[in-house]
Amino acid sequence: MAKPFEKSVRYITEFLKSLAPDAKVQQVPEFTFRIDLHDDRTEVRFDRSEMEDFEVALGRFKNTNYFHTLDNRIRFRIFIAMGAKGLIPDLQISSELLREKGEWLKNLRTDVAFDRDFCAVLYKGLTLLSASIKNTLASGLPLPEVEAEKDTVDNLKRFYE
Amino acid sequence: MENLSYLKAAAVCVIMEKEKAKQEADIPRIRKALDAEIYSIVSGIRDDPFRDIKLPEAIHDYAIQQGPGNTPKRPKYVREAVPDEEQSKLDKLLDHLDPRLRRRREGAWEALRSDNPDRLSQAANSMVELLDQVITQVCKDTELATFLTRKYQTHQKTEWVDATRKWIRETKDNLHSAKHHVDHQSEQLTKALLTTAESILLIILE
Repeated sequence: MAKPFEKSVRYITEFLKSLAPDAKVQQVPEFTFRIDLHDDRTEVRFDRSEMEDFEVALGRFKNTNYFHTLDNRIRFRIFIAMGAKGLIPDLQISSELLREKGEWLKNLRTDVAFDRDFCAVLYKGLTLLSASIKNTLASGLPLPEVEAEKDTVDNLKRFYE
Repeated sequence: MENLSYLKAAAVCVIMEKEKAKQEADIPRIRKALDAEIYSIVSGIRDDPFRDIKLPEAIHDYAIQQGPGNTPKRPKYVREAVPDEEQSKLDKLLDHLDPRLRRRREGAWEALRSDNPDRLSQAANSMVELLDQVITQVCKDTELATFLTRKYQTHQKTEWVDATRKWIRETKDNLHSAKHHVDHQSEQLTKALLTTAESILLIILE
């Protein structure tokens, strides 16, 4: 009898091995993957509904934005579990974030509040981004959309100051 | 929503800063601590409300402004590196014939995913060489058309293989002349060439 979610399990296992070829990867009940590398251990858990959706997407929707969205949920869970323990030191996670494909939200209106540490991260990042947009504007060319970006970023920066 | 997009980009800027610091750090424990910080931020932007928010154009400009050393490169692994079912089947058949052939198939895809300016042409050349080697080894002194007609007792597959090999050769030559100029269409053509060549290999070897 075929194992449940055979394609997804194989995909996840091979993905883990491609990230850390020397790691020992083991599936422990039910949809948890245990990764042992040198003296470190980490686990990545998925729930049944995620495995169900991914199994269908692997069979029928490969190369669609829907597939990329599910694929990213799986992959980034793995990146975070392994990365936080320093198990994928050579991976440049920013490149994964910049190349990310998927179904993006078209509309969202929500109130957000972040903790102090994350607000500090955002402020620092907004400062870097604002300086970068300023560099782009230094070309002297008329770039109204970039000017609008600078206003938005600077307003956010003032908020997180 | 626009604000969330810029906030997400701000977090990515900090991640890139920390990656730069990690590159410069020699001490393993410092690199590990930086990794913990980096992935804590990643965890924040992979959660609501940021997860399904598209990054703005400004972050790509930021990456370019960081210079080639800091422009995110394709990682050594890519998700396409996980072979699909057909490729796994083909790998087993190639292994049976000569294990070096499987490596060549993987090498073609690796070339495609590399940063080499000539990557499309190299990927196409590798796959065409693999196809030629397999045909030589399997068909020996028999013509491919004769081999396939005998194998499948029909002309349909033979005609498709003949026409497709011709397309592969022409596409490969065109890619060669478009060396050092990678556009989206050429990239898609190369992927199609690699995938189609794998289909021919399966027909020959199955």
